[in-house]
Amino acid sequence: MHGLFQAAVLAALVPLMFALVIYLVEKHSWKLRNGLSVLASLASFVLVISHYKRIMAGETILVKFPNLLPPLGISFRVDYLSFLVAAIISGIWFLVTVYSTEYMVKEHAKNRYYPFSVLTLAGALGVVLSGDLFTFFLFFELMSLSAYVLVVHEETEQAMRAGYKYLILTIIGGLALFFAIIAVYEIAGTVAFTPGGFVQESGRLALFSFIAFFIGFGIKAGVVPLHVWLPEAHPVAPSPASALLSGLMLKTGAYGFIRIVFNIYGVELIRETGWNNMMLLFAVVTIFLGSAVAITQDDIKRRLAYSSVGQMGYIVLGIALLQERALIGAIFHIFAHALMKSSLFLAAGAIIYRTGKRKVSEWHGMGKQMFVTMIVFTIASISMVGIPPLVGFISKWEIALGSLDAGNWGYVLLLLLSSLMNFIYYFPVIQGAFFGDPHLHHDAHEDKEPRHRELPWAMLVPMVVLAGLIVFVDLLPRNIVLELAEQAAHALFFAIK
Amino acid sequence: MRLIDVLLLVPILTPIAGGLLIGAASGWSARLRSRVTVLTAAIAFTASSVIYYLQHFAHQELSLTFFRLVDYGLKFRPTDLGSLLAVVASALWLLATIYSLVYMKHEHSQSRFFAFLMLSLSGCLGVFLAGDYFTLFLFFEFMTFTAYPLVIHEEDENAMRAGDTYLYMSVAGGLVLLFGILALVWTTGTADIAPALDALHKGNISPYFIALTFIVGFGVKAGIVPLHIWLPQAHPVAPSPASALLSGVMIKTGAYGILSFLTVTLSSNNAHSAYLIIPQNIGYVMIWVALLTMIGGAFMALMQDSIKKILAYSSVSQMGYIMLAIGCAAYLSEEGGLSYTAAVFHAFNHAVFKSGLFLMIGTVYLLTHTLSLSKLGGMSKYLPFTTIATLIASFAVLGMPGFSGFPSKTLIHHAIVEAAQHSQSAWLLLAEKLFVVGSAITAAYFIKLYTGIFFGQYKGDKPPTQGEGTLVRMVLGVFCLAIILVGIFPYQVMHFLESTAHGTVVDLHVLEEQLHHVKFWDVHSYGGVMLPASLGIAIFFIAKYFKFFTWRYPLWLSVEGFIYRPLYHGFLTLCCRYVTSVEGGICELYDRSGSASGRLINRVKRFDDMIDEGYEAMGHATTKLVEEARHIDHGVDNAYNQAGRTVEVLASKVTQVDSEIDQTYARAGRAVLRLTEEVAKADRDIDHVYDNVGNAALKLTESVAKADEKLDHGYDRVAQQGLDILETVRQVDQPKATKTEVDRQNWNPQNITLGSLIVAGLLLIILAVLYFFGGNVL
Repeated sequence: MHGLFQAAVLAALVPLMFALVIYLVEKHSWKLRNGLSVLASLASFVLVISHYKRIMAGETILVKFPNLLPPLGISFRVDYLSFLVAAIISGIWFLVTVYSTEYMVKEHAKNRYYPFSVLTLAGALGVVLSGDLFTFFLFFELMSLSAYVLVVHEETEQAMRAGYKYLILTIIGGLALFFAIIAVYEIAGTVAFTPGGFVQESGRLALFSFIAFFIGFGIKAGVVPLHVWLPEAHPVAPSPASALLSGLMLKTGAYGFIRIVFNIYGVELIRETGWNNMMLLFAVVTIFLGSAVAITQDDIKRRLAYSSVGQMGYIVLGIALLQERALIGAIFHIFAHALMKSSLFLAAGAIIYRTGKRKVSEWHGMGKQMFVTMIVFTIASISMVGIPPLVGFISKWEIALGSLDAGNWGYVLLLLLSSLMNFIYYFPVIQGAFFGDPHLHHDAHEDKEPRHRELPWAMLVPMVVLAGLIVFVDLLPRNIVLELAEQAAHALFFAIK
Repeated sequence: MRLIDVLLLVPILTPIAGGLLIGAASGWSARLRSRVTVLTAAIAFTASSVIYYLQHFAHQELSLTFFRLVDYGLKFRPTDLGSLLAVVASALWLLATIYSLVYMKHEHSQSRFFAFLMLSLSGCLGVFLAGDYFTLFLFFEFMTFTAYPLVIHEEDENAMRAGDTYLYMSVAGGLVLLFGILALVWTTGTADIAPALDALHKGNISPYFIALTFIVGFGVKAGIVPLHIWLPQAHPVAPSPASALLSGVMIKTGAYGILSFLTVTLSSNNAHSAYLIIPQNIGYVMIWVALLTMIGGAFMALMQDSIKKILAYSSVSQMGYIMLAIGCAAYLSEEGGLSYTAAVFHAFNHAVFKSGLFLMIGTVYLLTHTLSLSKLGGMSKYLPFTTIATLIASFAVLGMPGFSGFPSKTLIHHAIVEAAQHSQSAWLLLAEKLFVVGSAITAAYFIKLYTGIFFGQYKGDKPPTQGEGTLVRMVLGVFCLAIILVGIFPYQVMHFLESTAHGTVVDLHVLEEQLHHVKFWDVHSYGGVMLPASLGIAIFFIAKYFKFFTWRYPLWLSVEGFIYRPLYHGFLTLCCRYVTSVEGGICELYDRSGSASGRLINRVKRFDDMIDEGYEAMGHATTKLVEEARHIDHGVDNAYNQAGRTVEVLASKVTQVDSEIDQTYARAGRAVLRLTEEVAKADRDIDHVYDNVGNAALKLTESVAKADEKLDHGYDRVAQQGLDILETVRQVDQPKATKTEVDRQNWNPQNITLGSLIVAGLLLIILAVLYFFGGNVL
């Protein structure tokens, strides 16, 4: 079979082509446009999932095009980690796109939104399916730049400012990555992801390249102090785009961290040189700072965005601990946080869509009006706090055990403190929505208000599916995601060179 | 998995299903909902009882593991103690549910209340039936969250504030507990509730620290001072049936956790383990914490006005009793069997009588709608049944012989005495005295409570118009019956409870021995009760005399004002102010660096501009120079030009002149030519004229000859005619002359005379001159 038509390649290329097709047909039919957008994400999801058997058999799928853009060439590679992350990205993208077909009805410039959303998907999938740093970089930039269009969608002054910030930092990150890739190429003569890593020396150039990688991925992942674009950009985007940005796109930064630590430098080298301590330090600052600042935000989407900063800190912490269990936690948290944050953003978006209320303090009695939405919100935020048996608990548990493995229980305390802070900033939202209704004791006022302002199905179903996954992924007889995360972590740690 | 093991799921899943059903089915009638609720609670109770029966009497080891969440899944493997507590809990839940059918009849949001009542039952049973700490924690948290809507049911400001305190503290406690469980799992490799003392040393976390996290985590729920502050806020604001369950049952999950940890986890399979000192030290500290809880709680109860607050503080105080027994059990370790039994016994008793008391007080509230002691009074007239029931329950609390509190309090007293004997130190003897003081204060506030409600005059707005109703009486009757039965058959209950010590640190043989020596019905035991009771009466009157009951201590004196509020505010300030400003600083740093680079760019631009300007100036100068040069050049050019032009003009002039001269010459030539021609013509003319003249002269000669002939002839004739002419002349002489002159005037060469020729020549000359020299003039 020709390399181009392998599912691994197609999964990244299909959305790319779809973006073009959507651009061409959208002037004629909005129905076709929406349908194709949904289909694009569904198709890539199916293409990714089609690897399931081979991946579970322990196979690593490798497709190379050495003649494309020589001398580095383009290559695709699917292993446990890529498979899992790609499945998460395309699956949730599908749900969010379904949601957005209804949400975006009220918005302007839909003909711009959809092709760029699909283009961003192509970028994100390309990032996780790429087999070397060069291909990675190409798709990374594609994703970052097309996401700009999603960020500035509203075109208000605020959005433009945020978009400007996003763009500047993205470009800085891109340049840092570019430098790092060149440096790695200079050191080792290759940029292909290799199990166990291939950079053997720890000289100055290697350190610089590592730092440059850290900056490049750190900006994308929102690691403090490189996070400043995030709380600006995520809230101004339309809610489905926020869900994609916060839930999925950040994860490509985390994915990049995993790849460089395990497949470029190799865990032994990092451990010898102690470069992970740098990551640890920043992770700790990120967790604490993101959670603390979230408490003070009244705008729900800003609160969620800061929460994302803190949660990304968990993932970076899990990677930087260099412990297998911590890595399992980090990989699982990529999944868990993607679920939770997408459903939170979708729920918040649904409320903004219906009522236009962005401030948490205005959400009084929302649970009575939009019951299902608020239930989704509640489930996701309780999971965020890490209450078992919801998904958020598992990642926290594994990362905590990993930090005990690393011999430092300070991180466990930090995780728990951060959980408490999560509770402090999520609980008032739920409380305000469901309880303590100021009208309750006065009159029959509540009966006059419409009890439910039902959402359209296209918005409701994706949210409910996400919330259902949060609850039931752990309660199914087999937790496939956790198994995959374990396999992925095991493969990354004990790779045969 | 055996089919019989699945039974373990029934008491847990039934309430969840029932709760969800009640919550989801909004269209149900109140009747159907009540039936479903009671049925659910009844199924849970039945299933728990069956489990206990199988476990205890049929000696079936029930165990169920599934749902792999992490390395651990849900594991149910109830101990004897756990399954017994599950029975008690579900029984009390069933009673409270039945009671709440009456109590909640006129409340709002009933569906929510019943739904969460069932869900929290599931959580509570899950804790008791759990087979490892992981599962226990899961249900512990589940219970915490599902009890929240019960606490804040009223949704007024008080309830919301109490709910916040409850939930924040519970979640914080839960996280502390999670840390403990994580540490335990990591060091020992298992989450099972099993002896792990030896393994705990392998890790780098101090076992004391792990123990602290467990005690704090469970202690929040159990209401240990100083972690109790949520309890007196949350228990009173909930509707009475919920208060009963919170105070009677849920609080015991904390005690159960601490008891399990101290007596099971902190035990060793090796009886001579060197680490047994650890639980002993912890137990010693626990004894003092328990005394503080007991006396502090009782003291606070004494000062309250709200009857439910008195009961809530009473719960804190009673938990102190239970903790005291647990502390003694840990302190005495293998020999702590009696203390262990005392703890379980009192936990069981307290569950019954405190739930009962809350329901009884709830009945008073239901019918009077007041909780304030200063308004209540004289209820014995209106509610005789409740009066008696409350008296029975109060006697149980006070430990009157014949009521359920008596044997358990006596056992606790034995426990502390035993601990004091064991330690040989004076301090624990003091503890024993403090125990008596605590009991005395308990007596005092119960006298206050009881007399306040039932005696005297009712001071409220309108007295209750109806009785309790049959259903309420039945429920309260069950409680009284249980209290009295336990009080009458203390030995049987004690030996029944003995089995719960199985699997703990306790040496069962020693326990057997100890219990054998316990005597309830003797003077010592009565004395142990009567002393505090009489002291209590004294305290009551003294306090009443000094108006102590109405004394309001300032907030800062309370634990809440002293520790938690500053802690909470400090934390929030740290988060909200400092961290936020740090984050703002980072953002600003970016903005600044952005604007700084903007400035730098501006500066570079300015420099560039300067260079540009320099170039431009130079350019200008050069341009000017060039211009100047060009100017000069231009001038020179001009000059040359002008010169040239002048020369040209000159040349042209010259040429003109030349040409003019030429012309002049030409003209002159031409003129000369013409002159010549003219001359030639003139010459010819002259010639002609000469010819003509010659011809004329010839003719003239001929004519002259002719004329001569004629003249001859004429002379003749003239001579002839002369005579005539002379005649005629004489007549016409004049006219003949004129005619000759006219002929002379005609242009005729014949007429040309020399004179006319000269005139013609002169004219010609004048013409010629005019022609040649007149060009300039004309």
